[in-house]
Amino acid sequence: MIEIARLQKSYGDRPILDGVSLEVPQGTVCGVLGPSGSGKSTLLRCVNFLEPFEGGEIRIAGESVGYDHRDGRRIPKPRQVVNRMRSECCMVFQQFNLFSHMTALENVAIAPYKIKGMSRRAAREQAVALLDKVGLGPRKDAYPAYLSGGEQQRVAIARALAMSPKVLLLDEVTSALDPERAAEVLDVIAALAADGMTMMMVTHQMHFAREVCRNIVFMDGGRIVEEGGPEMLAAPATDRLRSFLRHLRLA
Amino acid sequence: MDALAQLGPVMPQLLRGFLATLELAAVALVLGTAGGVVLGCLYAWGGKLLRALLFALLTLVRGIPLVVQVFAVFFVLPVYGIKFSAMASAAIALTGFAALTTMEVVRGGIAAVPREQFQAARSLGFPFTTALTTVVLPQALRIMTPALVNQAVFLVKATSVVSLFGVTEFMFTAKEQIERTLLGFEIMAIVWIVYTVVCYPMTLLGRRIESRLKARGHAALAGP
Ligand SMILES: Nc1ncnc2c1ncn2[C@@H]1O[C@H](COP(=O)(O)OP(=O)(O)OP(=O)(O)O)[C@@H](O)[C@H]1O
Ligand SMILES: [Mg+2]
Repeated sequence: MIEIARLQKSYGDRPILDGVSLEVPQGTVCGVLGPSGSGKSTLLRCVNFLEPFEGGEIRIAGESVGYDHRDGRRIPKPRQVVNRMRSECCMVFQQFNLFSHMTALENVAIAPYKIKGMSRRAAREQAVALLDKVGLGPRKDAYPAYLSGGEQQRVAIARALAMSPKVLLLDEVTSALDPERAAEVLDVIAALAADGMTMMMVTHQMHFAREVCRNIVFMDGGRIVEEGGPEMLAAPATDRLRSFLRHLRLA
Repeated sequence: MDALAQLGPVMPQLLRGFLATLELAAVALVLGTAGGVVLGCLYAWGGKLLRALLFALLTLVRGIPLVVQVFAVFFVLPVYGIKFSAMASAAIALTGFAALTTMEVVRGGIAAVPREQFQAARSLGFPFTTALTTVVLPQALRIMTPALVNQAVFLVKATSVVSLFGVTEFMFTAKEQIERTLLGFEIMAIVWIVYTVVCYPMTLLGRRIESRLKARGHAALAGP
């Protein structure tokens, strides 16, 4: 579903992603681990094309992200195509970023209404159903300021699901939450994984990653240092991953 | 009693002046605010060059007394062959002033909305302008309302400077009538009351809008 090949990305002349290649088969979850600054968020932002990149290629469901490749040249895609592809591959952020002037329901309904041309009624009905699904039916009319972090993050997930994306990108979605609130959100993600949603997930929750991820990649310095199935966390092959995991356990 | 009798015939004149002031204020407010929103967006999202240009203009407008700006439109532009009627010149000067000062308010409002809000909208596939109009501007508006109302009230009163250039608005007719009737105190009292009566409801309206914006969500989706 997601294919990333030799991805190159730099800020100024500082390389941030240096030849990242990975594949996420349809219906599976790929966990992305790595120390701070290793380029995990940047990788997800490139897949969502919130950031342009200089080299390599990303494909979602076979369609190239951001650029067309013709005669060995890269041609930026038209804006409408970029926007459409973004709506098929939604991102959920560490800081939730709910629209603060809208209720939970409006947050979930606004994108299908505004950009998919769904009727107001259908958008609201879908939003109610999605909020029920993440366990927030009774809180649908609350503004984000009146929701707990865990509730806000679940609304944010519902907001992304409202676009019926092919892929969900989750960037440390539980890092700003206490363990109980985090568990609420992780339950929602586990349910999505069971439903066969294709996801790429940056996380520091090792137990959770081991349970839901088909593949895990460990990044450092803009490269994938080690990748494999969940068992790799129990028996890391590289010293780098071993020391990373040791520090994580101590923390 | 004598004064009251004398005031009678003054009233139609004052009313005419008052209507001219309202017209001037309305034009400057509507065009100035619209222009200010556009300029504010350009400032917030435009390129470096545009930003520098707008900043230079703003600095100019802020640094020069309003009277001098109006003077420039009335007397300097004609030197370059650009001529308008007195009323049009006044409208142009005030609109320009309003647009640039509103731009600064709008820019500040947009800057106060966290960038992540815009990014979240973009990541869902919102086109640039839709993200701006449904996510950023409504939040910016809530932040800006007090400053915008202040600005509007100031502008209504500021229209009086053009009386110095012979535009027959409220202040000018009032002065004219004072010279004619010598009822300085009475007419000035009327002027004061009228400006207050116009400006006070604007402040109240601003408060109302502010609390409405706070209370309700996105209008387009409200209701069943
Ligand atoms: N807009 C930017 N301009 C310049 N450098 C940036 C920008 N965004 C990120 N970087 C740099 O890119 C590198 C990778 O950042 P990124 O956010 O992808 O790391 P990360 O792995 O997500 O880290 P964390 O775990 O802290 O979230 C960092 O060194 C960061 O300083
Ligand atoms: Mg990050």
